[in-house]
Amino acid sequence: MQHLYIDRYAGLDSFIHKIDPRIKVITFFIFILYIVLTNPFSYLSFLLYGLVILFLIAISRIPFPFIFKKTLAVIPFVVLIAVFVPFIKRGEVLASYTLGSLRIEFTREGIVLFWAIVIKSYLSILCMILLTSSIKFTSLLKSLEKLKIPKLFIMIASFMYRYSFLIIDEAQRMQRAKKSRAFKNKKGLSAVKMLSNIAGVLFVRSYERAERVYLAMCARGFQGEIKTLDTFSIVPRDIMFLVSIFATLLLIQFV
Amino acid sequence: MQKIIEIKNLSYIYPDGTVALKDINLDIFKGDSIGMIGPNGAGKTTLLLHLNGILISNGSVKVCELPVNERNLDKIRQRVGLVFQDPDDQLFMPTVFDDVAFGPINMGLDSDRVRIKVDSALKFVDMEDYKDRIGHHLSFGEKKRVSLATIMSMEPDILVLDEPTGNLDLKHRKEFINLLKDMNITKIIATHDMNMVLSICSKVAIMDQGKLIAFDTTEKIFGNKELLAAHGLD
Ligand SMILES: Nc1ncnc2c1ncn2[C@@H]1O[C@H](COP(=O)(O)OP(=O)(O)O)[C@@H](O)[C@H]1O
Ligand SMILES: [Mg+2]
Repeated sequence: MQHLYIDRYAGLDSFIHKIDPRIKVITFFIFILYIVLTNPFSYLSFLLYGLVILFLIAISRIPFPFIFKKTLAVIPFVVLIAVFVPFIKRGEVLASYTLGSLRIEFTREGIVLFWAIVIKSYLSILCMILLTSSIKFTSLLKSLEKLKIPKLFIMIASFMYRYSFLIIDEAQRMQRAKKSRAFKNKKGLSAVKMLSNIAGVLFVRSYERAERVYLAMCARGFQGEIKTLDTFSIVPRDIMFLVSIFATLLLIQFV
Repeated sequence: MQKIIEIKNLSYIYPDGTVALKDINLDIFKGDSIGMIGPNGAGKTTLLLHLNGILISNGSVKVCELPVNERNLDKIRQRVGLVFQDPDDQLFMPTVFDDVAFGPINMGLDSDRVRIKVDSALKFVDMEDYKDRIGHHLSFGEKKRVSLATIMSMEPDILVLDEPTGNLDLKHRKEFINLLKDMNITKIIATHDMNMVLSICSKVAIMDQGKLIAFDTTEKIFGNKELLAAHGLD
């Protein structure tokens, strides 16, 4: 069955793809740190950050539409959270409305904060997406492990990556089987019932699978810790990448 | 000949009360290739799980003279390689390489040795080019072969397989049987695939309802049509 892989373009062979995963993670982490800590009024900085990211996307040869489509999935959540900020943040009132007994105020500080949240999170999301789509998910996990992220998180993410597709497949098969036995499209309550049925069975099956997987791990000597081989090596190109991005970020602070 | 596995008075009851094994006695010698046949629910899988200490119960199982118990688990699991029926259970790591390297790393080998073992195991199953591939991107036949490699990389003395040809199409089934044929180690194979048993097994054990019904050479068992028919195996 066909799935949308988050690392669909991770197999490309561009300059960005070749950077050592650990260095890439660190570089983008620094980049995001800079974005987040930038003064909301330095509009030019944000513009330059955006241009740097666009440049990096361009040399990564990952199609722009792919990246922007991904950002669309996240941006509604950001806006949903940020949209209330202008009304909540206290400060210089720009406008106020009275709805019955409710008084709504709209502050300058609130608008600034709104703008800051939206632009900073959008740029950060772009960075994250460029990072995760130019690196194999497995390498990403491994580099996070090397960067001392707790093993437990890595294990959970790795099993999610390995088995989520299997569970999705299973759910699709069950839905198809149910549909082929039901003659009309169910709506409302009975559709909910069917869905909860499927969810229940899926839960039990996943639970059983987890048990079998655990046994298979034990059979190969698992003793509570997953160990993998270190396959990374840092070459001058990686350091150059880190340094040049870092230098660019510093320069942007001075414009 | 050297007795490599000795099972004495083995019974097993699952926590929910299902009696899965009843008083099994079985001796397996070095170099044997044993086909374990019997209807679904006969207890084949349960018996295999006892061979490397995944399940431990009363009665005794000995592997290379070592009793299977908590204390010997490490040694036993290096000797007995168990390939589970569903390759999606066997392949739990993100990449093929990590999966095949999992056993050798846990055995405490250094990274160069691990790489050598992984390479030769993958070469053996003809999957050298799949090292960086991701588990869920493989076809069923490829998953089955990598599953075998995850065990071969540990170089066990005894290979235990649970329905290795189940769900394989004809071509892949044939390839897989040829792979098994080429391996000169002790093999214990639970299966419904009579043709595979005929072509690679020297001895056959029939199980039904938790009991070991018969254990003899392949010719004798397959010569006894009444016995096979009595357990729905013809
Ligand atoms: N985890 C389990 N819990 C309870 N009963 C089980 C479990 N696994 C298998 N059984 C039962 O034990 C019996 C033997 O099963 P199994 O060893 O899987 O047989 P086979 O592999 O020959 O088909 C069956 O009746 C089965 O339903
Ligand atoms: Mg079975």
